[in-house]
This record gives sequence, C-alpha cells and structure tokens, in this order.
Amino acid sequence: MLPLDLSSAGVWVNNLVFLLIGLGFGAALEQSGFGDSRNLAAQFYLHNMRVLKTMFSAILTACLLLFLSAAMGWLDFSKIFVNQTYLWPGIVGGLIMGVGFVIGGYCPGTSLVSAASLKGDGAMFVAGTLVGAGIFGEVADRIGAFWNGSYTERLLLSDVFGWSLGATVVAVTVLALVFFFAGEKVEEWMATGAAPRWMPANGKYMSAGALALVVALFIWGKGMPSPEEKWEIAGGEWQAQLDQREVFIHPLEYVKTWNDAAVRLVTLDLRDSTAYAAFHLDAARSVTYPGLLDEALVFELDQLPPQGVVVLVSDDEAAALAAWKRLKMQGVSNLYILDQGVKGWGELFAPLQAHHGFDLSRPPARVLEAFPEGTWQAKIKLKTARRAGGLCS
Amino acid sequence: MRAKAYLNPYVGGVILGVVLFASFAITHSGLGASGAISRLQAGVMELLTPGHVDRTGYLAAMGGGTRMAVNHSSIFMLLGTFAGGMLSAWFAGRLKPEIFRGPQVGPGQRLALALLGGTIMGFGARMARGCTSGQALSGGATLSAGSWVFMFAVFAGAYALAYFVRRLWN
Amino acid sequence: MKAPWTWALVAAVAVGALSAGLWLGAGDGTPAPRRFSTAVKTTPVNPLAGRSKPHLDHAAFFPDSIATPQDVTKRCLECHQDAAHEVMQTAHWTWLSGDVMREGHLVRIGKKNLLNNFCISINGNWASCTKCHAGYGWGSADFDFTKQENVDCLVCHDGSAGYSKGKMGLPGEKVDLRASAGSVRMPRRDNCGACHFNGGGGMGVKHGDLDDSLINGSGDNDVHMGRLGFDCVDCHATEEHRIPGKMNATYSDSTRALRMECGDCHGATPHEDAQLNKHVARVACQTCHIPAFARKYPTKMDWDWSQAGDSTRQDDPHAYLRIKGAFIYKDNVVPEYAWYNGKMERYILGDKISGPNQAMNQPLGSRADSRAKIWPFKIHRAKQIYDPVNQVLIPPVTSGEGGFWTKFDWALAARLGMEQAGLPYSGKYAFTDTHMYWPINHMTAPKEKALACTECHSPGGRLDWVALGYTGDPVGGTRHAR
Repeated sequence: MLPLDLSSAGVWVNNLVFLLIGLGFGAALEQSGFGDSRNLAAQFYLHNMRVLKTMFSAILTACLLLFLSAAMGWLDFSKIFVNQTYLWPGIVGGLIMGVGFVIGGYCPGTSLVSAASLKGDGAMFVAGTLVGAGIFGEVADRIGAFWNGSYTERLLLSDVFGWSLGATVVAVTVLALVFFFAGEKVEEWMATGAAPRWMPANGKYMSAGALALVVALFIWGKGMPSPEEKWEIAGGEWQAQLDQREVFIHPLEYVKTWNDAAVRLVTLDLRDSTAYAAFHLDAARSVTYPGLLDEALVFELDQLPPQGVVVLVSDDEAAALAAWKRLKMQGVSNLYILDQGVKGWGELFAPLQAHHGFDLSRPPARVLEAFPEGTWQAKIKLKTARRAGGLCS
Repeated sequence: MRAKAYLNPYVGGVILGVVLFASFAITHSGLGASGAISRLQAGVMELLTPGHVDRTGYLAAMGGGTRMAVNHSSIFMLLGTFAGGMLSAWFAGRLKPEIFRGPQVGPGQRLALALLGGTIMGFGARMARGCTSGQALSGGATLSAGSWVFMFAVFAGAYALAYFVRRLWN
Repeated sequence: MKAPWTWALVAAVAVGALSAGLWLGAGDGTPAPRRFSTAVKTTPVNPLAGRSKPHLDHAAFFPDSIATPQDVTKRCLECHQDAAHEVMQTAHWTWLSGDVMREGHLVRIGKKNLLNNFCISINGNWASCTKCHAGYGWGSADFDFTKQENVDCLVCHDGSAGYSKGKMGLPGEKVDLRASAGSVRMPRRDNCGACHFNGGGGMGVKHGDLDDSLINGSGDNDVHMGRLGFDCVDCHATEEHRIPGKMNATYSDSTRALRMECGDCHGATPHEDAQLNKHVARVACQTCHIPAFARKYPTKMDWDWSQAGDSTRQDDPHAYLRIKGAFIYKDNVVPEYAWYNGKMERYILGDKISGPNQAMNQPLGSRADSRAKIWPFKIHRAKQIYDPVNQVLIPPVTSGEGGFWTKFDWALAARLGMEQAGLPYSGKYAFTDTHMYWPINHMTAPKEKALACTECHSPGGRLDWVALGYTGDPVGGTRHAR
C-alpha cells in the first residue's frame, strides 16, 4: 500500500529519489513557462491566468489521485504528511509573499528554475530569498509566540467544514473548475476588450473538466475505506506484531509509562459502562467500539504528539484486538493493549494492595520494585519522528 | 535553436500534479523549495559564523552542533529542481542568459527589483513555513486547512499590491 | 470594470474571505448553562490553546561523552551565557527565599537556614539534603555559591528520564551525562516533580497536593494537568529562570513575591453566578475548587520524632521508621482553613518557642485585612526535639556525621546540631508539638466537584466561623456590618 516505506532503503537511495522528483518538478515548472517572471506576474494583471490554471490543475490532479487511491484502498492517507496549520503565521506570511511575488515576479521554486535557465532576474531572486530567509531566521526567536501560535497539528478542510473527505474533494474540484472557467473568460475579456462569450466552447477542456468532476463524484460516492476494509488490504504489515504479542504490555510497563512525564498517555477503556463505573484505571476514558470512530476522538488522536501513547483496556482480548486494528488504520502510531486487561491488573496488584493498601486505580511507582527483574519486557517503542516531516520544515 | 512553445497551462499543471502525487506516493510528503533555501542559507552561515548558528534557535534547529543544515532530503530536491529546470530549458532551446522584465523597466532596475522581491518572498515563505510548492501545492492537495488559507492570502497580497506596481510589468 | 467575470472572481475571493472570517470567529457551540443571576463571566484564557511548543534537539551539540557534570554546565553556558547567573539569583540555587524582621534587622531565610517539622534542618546534613539542590557539590557550610559551573542545568531540563541526583546533588552513578545533556528541553512535570513530589523523604509526603498522580493523571484529579495537559511551567511561567509562585514563603514588607494567580487567566468574575463572584474577594479560589488533597496517594499528616530509635519495631515507610519515628498518613484529606494575605510569619533558628504547640509558620491576615482571603492549608503536625531550658527548637544532625540516623543518640545529635547552628545549648532535650501550614494550590477538581454552598454554610460545615473572626455563619442569622 502506498506510500512506500523507504526507511530501510538507505540514505543514498532516499536522496536519489528526492533528486529525481525534483527533476520532474523543475522540468514541469519550466515547461509550463514559469521560468519567465513575466508569465508569473501577468497573473496579477489578469491578461495571463497561467499561474491560476497551472497551480489549480496541479492541486486538483494530485488531490484527485491521492483521494482516488485512498478510496480504492491503494494508498493509506493517514500516513501522508499533511502540513501543520499555523493559521496566522500562514496568513501574514502569505500576504508578505504575495507582495514579494508581484514585485519580484517569482516564487522560490520558479526562481530556481529561472536561475537554472540562466536568467539574471531569476538568479537575483534566488539570492534575495536566501537573504530573506536569513532575515527571518534572525527574527524568528523574537516572534516565537506568534510564529508558534494558532496551531493545529493536522487540520483538514473537511474537519473545518464538517464534511466528508469525498464531499470536500468535490467542493475543491468545483472550485477549481469555476476558477478555470473564470480564468478563461477573464483572459478573453482582457484580450478582446469586449464581453466574453458565456458558453464554454472548448470541447477538450469541457471533457477534461467533466472527467475531473466524475472522478471527484466517484470518490465521494465510494467513500474512504472503513478501518476494517483498510485492514483487509494493509493489515498484514502488522499481523506479525499482533501474533508475537508485541503490542501487549504488562501492567508494570503501564505503571512505568504512567509515571513517565515525557509520554502523553491516553488510556481508552473499552468495557461497558457498568464495569467502567465500578472500577477503571485512573485517567482512563470510557469508549465504545463504535465510539472509536467518533469524529471528536479521531481528531483528538490525530493531534497527538510523537510521544503520545494510546493504551486500550478491555477484559475481552478479541474486542481489544478489533479496536486496535481499527485505531491503527486510523493512523495512531504508538498503540498498545493492556495484557490481560482489568482482570489481570487486579490479579497482579491485589496481593500487594492487601499488604500495603493503595488505590488499585493508581498504584504508586514503587510497586515496580516489588517484582523481580525479568517479570516484564518493555514493548513500548516510541516513534519519535513526526508522521514523515515535510520538506519545508 | 528556436525556443519551443510552453506547454498548455492545464497540461503543465496536470504533469506537475502527477509529479506531486508521485512525491506523496513515494516519500510520504510533497514538494518544497523554501525550506531547502533556508537550509542553504543556514549552511552558508555555518561556514561563516558557526557560533551564531548554534545560538540562534531557528538556525540551530537546522545546523546546530554537529548537524549539517544542507544534509537533508530537501536539498536534493532543490538540486533536482534546478537540474530539471536547466535540462528542460536546454531541450526547449530556452537555455540562454537574459533578463526578463516589464517593458518600462531597465535591466539594472529589474535585477534590483528581483532581489527585493526575493528578499520579501524569502521572509514571507519562512514565516508561512512554506511557499507555493510546499504549502499551496502540497498542502492544497492534501486539503490542509492552513495551506488553503495561506494560498488565498498569497493571491490577496499580490492582487492588492498589483495595481500600485503595475508599471513594473506593463 | 466591464466584465462580469472579473466580478465573479472577486466574488469568489470575497466568499473565501468571508468563510475564513466566519470560521475564525466561530464559537465552540456549547450551549449556555442555566444561571441563577446574570453576571459577566470571564472566559478563561488557555495559554496552551493553539500553541505549539517547539523543541530544539540538542543531541547534535553533545557528540562526545562527558566526564563530569560541571563539564555539562560549562558546555551549556557556551551558548546560554546568562543562564547560570540567572539561576544563581533565585531560591533554587541560594535556598533563601524569604525574609523576616528580627530586632529591626532584615534576616534572609530559606531552606538553607530554617527548620521545618519534617526532616527539620539541613544544617550538618547537607550531603543528603542537597540531593534536591539545583547544583553540584553542596556538602558543607563552605559551599561556594559563586561558581557557575556548579549550577545543575540537567535537573530541570533533562528530557531522558534517566537523570537522577545523589549525595551533594551530584548525578547518580548510572546517569549517562551525554544522553542527558543531549535530551534537554523545557521542563516537564517529572523535572519539577523529581524534587517537589518527593519532598520530606518520599513521594507525596510533604505537600499533599503534589505527587506522582499528577503525571498522566486524570482530569478529576487535577483539571489543568490532567484534562488540559498543562505542565508546571504553563502556570509557573518563567522569565530568566525566575519561577513565580512560591506561596509558602515568609516575606517581610520589603520583599515583593513573584506569584501568579488564578485570576490571571480566569479573570475577576470567573463565575456566571453573581453570588459566587462576590466570594472572590474574601475566599481564595483554591478553597472551593480543591475540596480535598492527597486524593490518590496518601500524604504524611503527623510525624512523631519522639518515638524514633526503637529497634524492636518493624520499619514501614507509612507507619514507622527507626530513623524517623512514627507517622500517620491520610488520603482524601479535607484542608483546614485560615486567613492569608500572602505573607507568613516564620519561626527561625534561635526564636524562643511561643507555647506548647509551636507554629513553624503562620499565615498572616484576618477578617479585617482586606487583602486577606480564606485559604485551604494542609497542617502537618509533629513532635520534634527542642531545648526545654533555652526554649528553642533544636536542629538535630540526622543524616550527617554523628547524626541520629547512624548513632541513634539524640543527645549527640542535638549537641552537634546546636553547635552547627551556633546556638547556646543547655544539654537537655525533650520533644514538643509543632505544626506547619502548607498552602494547597494543586489538584484542582473539575468545577462540578467544587464545594457546594452547604459545605461551609451549614451547621456541620467546614469553616470554624468564630476562629475566622465571625460571630457565626454570615449567611442566615444576624449579620454584622463588615
């Protein structure tokens, strides 16, 4: 299942891959005319809407390919890097960039391509970006509170509007098609000076637009695969881990993790509400199996930092495994199951509790010393890197 | 060699979109340029004033201590972008030194304006944590809310100023 | 403009801007709750909302192994040049946090030279007590407080969870200094908690409202740390290593304490109910919002040193230790309440004891003091050693050379201790009762669990109205003019 995992391929393969992708990127930009600042700036004077057309065609194409692959089960979207949202730095930075764009006539990527084709203005622009980035670097620490604020780890348009991913894709497609249409008509008007013909005339463009819309509607109709469907397609990757019980943690490891302030521990108790009310681990939350797909919970788990660890608690191992698969397919990285559940917890700590008298829902860290070394093996291995960091970070 | 025509913008866009998708499919993440440029700058600073790089949080994150700012995948993408642009220009007969400028602007003026525009753009791109490739294209394709807002802000900023600098291009 | 299409584009942009504006301005959709009386409720400011805490990975700055902890500090100071100097101005380094007036003089006091009613005094016992000093090597009265390389950066900034301190504050034997140094970051709860959760000789012993249950804890136990994920430094926001918030310090009028208050985020009218907002002037937020402390782990409430030394009794950290005496631990403790205006009086070395139950510290304030509010306290009671002839409390040597923890000889421990302190000693010792006030500030319960009116305003209520200076419950019955 896409995306590929190149982590075992070695540094040079990785670098080569990035080089090749860059080659395609640069070539596509240059072929589209973005090595020429006049083409780029013309966008803002309305007589050449090339930038709008190319940008939105690119975004639309990639978006449709991404979500079509996801809907067909060929690609796991939860593994795709989504830029973090820093709302106000993005707005302010974007406005500033717009100013730079219309004065200089390029953006960083296109200026590279222009410089590469030996254009003096492109080269000067690249030099400028180096200087500008440098100035920002000096200022960044001082504006840290602003620059690190208005932050959400993973916020999609579908989250903002409360729509499904498919519906959002359709909306984006429609927006792009509207922009294309408007762009054509503006160009026509600017070229002829007269009101443009309203009816779309170019058959090829109409077909392409219709195709895009059909694909988008298909994505919407098909919907994203359910976690169970995703598991059927891609779960094999984790089956070995499950078989070798690598995701089952001993209660003592849970106690140790509890007391590790570096870990952000989220404990989900899958048992029914009566059992939960009778006894539950301190800070555990009651979640039902269908509730695992609750939008609010999925969103919350999406925002967990790399040191976030989710532990599932249940007395029914089959139920815990099903929940594990479901959450894994939703993209939770550090996900574990409390071995033997609440029953095992009670059996392990009850004798100690009888003797020392502590709250069973929160045994103190010193219980770890009451058991000989080798009683439990550490299973929790934190994935410390972000979900594939982006290139501009 | 007579220069070939540019591609139809939609065709170019679709090709660009396929490259973007390939990037996601192969590497988990999209395209980028301003991050690599920032690393280049940090790399130069490492050679000139390593102590300063160590002491400035933004730079240290890329090149502090034993870290090398330019030892990062984005730099390879930057090299590829450059090479791709050059090869494409060569095959299309567009590889020749010149200075593109508006009809009312002289070459010297244009170079100065490019430098100025680039400086402003570089500053804004790092503020936004990405530029049109990293944020607008890549973030836009993955439907990242912040990226879409960013994209509209770029267009808004450019359109807002365009009338006042129209002499530069028209 | 002529063409409608340009307008269309403009309209599209306008629509986009409008949507963005609506989105940004949208509320969270929670319905408004019922109210008894309308009041303007200040919405609390969440300092963590939308904030990302960037982290610079320092591993690249420490490629080689490190021999001594001072080498770590020196390396830190190469970039963070002012850090040691800043720390050295603060109580974490000097162990002097307050002052009192004695005979017209201002006397600086702190853990360095004070007694409490837990392990009593660090004098003579430096090696073990300074395990929690933010520095290296304080093993005697001659510790050089001016040497910057002895500042311990790692105790607050270590991110590896593998850092510990031993005698004289030096790193434990198993500590990998390079790994620890490379892991540094802004302090998290385990950094502060390494000392502040374990004061008094064990987890949860001292404060009552600070213990391990705050790490990955529940929102029921503490709303800010459990539900909202606050770290200590999110409330105790620090500038230049000056950490605000010490409540349990004595400050004379000449010292301004660096503190933060609930109102800094919650405002002056944090309730919707106007009647509740009226309480803010006279009742501390903690009083109603921390109904009990030590809710998960018990805390030490009583310590009888006089029973120490009995080798026939079994050692059990929660009941009796030969070196320390007998204890009483309690959990879910209801606080005791007193007026507190932010300043405390303090018993210091050499003070004559005032009576059979000496107050180690005394919150100042009264009903008549408009700056005072009713605060919740843990009152720790002890029976500790004193000189009945000179009528002073004795700071015994316990863990130090010749101390009670090795010799089990009170006479020796007392003599050595009084010598260390430079106090005249009659040679006779006995045990007297003392009590000490510990303000309760943490383990804030969710608002649904805040005290109900009748918890105080009822015949069996929590407050001793007469002791607080009222003739009776001000609600119901005759009310006197304030």
